[in-house]
Amino acid sequence: MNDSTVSGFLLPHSMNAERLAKLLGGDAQCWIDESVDFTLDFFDSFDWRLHAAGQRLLQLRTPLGAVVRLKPSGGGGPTDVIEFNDQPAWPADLPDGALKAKLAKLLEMRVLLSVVSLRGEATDLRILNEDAKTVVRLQLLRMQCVSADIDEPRVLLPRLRLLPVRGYERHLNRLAAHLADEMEWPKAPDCLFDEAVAAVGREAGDYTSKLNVRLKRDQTALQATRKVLLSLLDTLERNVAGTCADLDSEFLHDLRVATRRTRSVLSQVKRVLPDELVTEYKERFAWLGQITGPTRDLDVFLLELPRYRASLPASMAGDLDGLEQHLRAAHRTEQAKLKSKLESAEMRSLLDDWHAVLEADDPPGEPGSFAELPIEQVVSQRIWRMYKKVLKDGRAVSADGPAEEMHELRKDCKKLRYLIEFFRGLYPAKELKELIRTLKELLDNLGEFQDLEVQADKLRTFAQDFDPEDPHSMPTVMAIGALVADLLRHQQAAHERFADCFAGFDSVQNRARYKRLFKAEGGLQE
Amino acid sequence: MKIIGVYNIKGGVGKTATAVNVAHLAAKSGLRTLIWDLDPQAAATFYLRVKPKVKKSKRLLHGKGELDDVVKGSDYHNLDLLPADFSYRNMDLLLGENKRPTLRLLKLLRPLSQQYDLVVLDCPPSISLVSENIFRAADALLLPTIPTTLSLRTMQQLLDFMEGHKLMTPVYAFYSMVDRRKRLHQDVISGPSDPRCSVLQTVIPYATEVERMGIERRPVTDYMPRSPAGLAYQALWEEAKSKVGGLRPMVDLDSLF
Repeated sequence: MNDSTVSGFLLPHSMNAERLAKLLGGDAQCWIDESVDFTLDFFDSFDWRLHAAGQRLLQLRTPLGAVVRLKPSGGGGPTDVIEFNDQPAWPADLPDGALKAKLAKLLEMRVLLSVVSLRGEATDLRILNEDAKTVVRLQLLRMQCVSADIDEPRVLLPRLRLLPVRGYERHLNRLAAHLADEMEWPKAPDCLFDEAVAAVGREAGDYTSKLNVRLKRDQTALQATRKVLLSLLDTLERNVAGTCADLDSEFLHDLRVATRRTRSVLSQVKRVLPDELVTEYKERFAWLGQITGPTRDLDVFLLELPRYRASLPASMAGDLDGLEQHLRAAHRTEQAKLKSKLESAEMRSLLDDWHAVLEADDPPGEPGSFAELPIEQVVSQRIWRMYKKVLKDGRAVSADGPAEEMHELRKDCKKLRYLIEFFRGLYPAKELKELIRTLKELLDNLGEFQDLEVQADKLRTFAQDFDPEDPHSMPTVMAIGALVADLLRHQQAAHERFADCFAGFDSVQNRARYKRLFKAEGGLQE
Repeated sequence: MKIIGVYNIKGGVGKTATAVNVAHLAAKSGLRTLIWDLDPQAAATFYLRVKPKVKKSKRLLHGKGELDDVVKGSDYHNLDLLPADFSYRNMDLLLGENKRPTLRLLKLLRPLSQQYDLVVLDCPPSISLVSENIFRAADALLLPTIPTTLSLRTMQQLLDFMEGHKLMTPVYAFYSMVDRRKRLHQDVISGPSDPRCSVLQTVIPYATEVERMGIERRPVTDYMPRSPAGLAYQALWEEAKSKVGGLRPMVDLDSLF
């Protein structure tokens, strides 16, 4: 019952159970048992979170039923199995247990999507000894792959799996050696998943929202900037379909981040792209940022809802049902609007035009005066200046100061972070690591401060949508009130933590690092 | 993991046929099943085409070896066998040398609990230290009983023994090797039974196809599943499964992927 010693071979396409049985000695030595049709589906989130965590999720269907299995990708380690007939999508829909808990933790807000689907037939065969006792079990798998990425199914080479019968392992070893040496059949790759994914023209981990553009230090500023922008455009485009279909909230989030980053490159990398181009596309991408805002705001509330409920006394948690209904209804409306805008001619032409600009030999218009300078020189200066600004403004922030100074600082911090991230390929990764960590910590603090305020403000607005005369809305409004108070208390706490977070950023070592990496003698006139 | 012991003080009551057929049906339904041939006559081992040449039982029962090393795969998917060993003849003596002899069997089985959903014990006849071990290890006892007066007496002996030793293991008796033409068989079946055990509905008929198991060396549920005996074992398995509970198989094919 232990399948740790399973080995497998790839067979020629012409091989079937009858031919195989004949090759292995005919009736007296090899019996053909039953065949069963199966489908095997592999699932992951759009951004491959399970793969990144070294896990595989699969669902196997046979006429007997369907099971879902989560197991480590390298084999070995604990495997969790449940019986589940529907296509798995959200962990919440699965029966309680270890598998559900693990998935929920790994996926967070992401939904499961089918990566590749295998359909096939498994035929069991047995090798018998002179007593007609079964000594090796065989399984012949004939399969084809289907996925949304390909039009026609791809037929895989038949696989032969050798399964040990306990106490008769040496028979298996002998047979395996025979198949390899005499038949010269190649060993099957250990992982069916990799083979299937490759067959449909994909690669595990082929999407990530993280930026990692390969750049050379002496590349011209124009080339490098275009490369970064193209990579952002790719991310943006790949998230449009999932956003329109509202598969999960992260498609829209990634789409918005790519939009914001594009705008940030346009405004931060100065004098590289032609001025009129920058002006035009800043505006057009601002439009994209704007039309995607309302749905994202509602997504955030819906994602926060469980935490909101948990923050209220148990007796009040149910009073947020009214708010939830309100949010869901508003979300439906906004999502429909968003979809129609993302499918509009305006959106299509934005993407097409932007492609044309970035892929043209020369972008239209007069290039900026820094266009032909080495990218490293242009970017280092920009980062250095932004860093000095953050340092100066951050030192002026006080725990009892106005919220505005925190908000302004956050904007600049974000620009600084984006700049470093866009062009991280230019600098030694080891040096950047600590620098990004402290910056992120600072940004998290600033982000929390602002998000809590925004949420509290919006909740106040929502409260006004409920009829004060209606006794049914009373508990909801009161629960919202309690929530707002709680959020503002947390916001205050975030304000108080700011000094510590900023001190991490403004440490002696960090200052030296920024200086070493980004400060140059003499400056370019921006 | 659930453990079912198939037991009777008397021999020749269809005990091994029951153990082998029930284990086969369990495996076929998808339960990872181990049958442990504890009977030195090694009939279950013979039926499943394994050679009874294990020499490790002495070490096993002394606590040095592990069952894992001596398990053999059968001809059936999901069905493994722990073959009989002629040295089991002296098992009572060996068990007697242990500190807590009546729990030794259970201790041996414990490491297998991740590998198997069900263990079927084919027990040697007679009441001994071995059988007491079995009573303590098992979640349930299946008691094949020929519907004769003498058989009913041995059933009472067993129940007395269990009562005397405060053994709470549920006992499910069923009538085996039943010949409907015999008046006595019919009378016993329709008569009252000992209130200390439950009698299952299923009746296993006396049938030549069961006797053929020795020639076929396969469970009757494999070579003649639709015969009266094959169907009766199927019914017995369904009934026993629902009594024992917690025996729900998973579709197991995907251990292969």
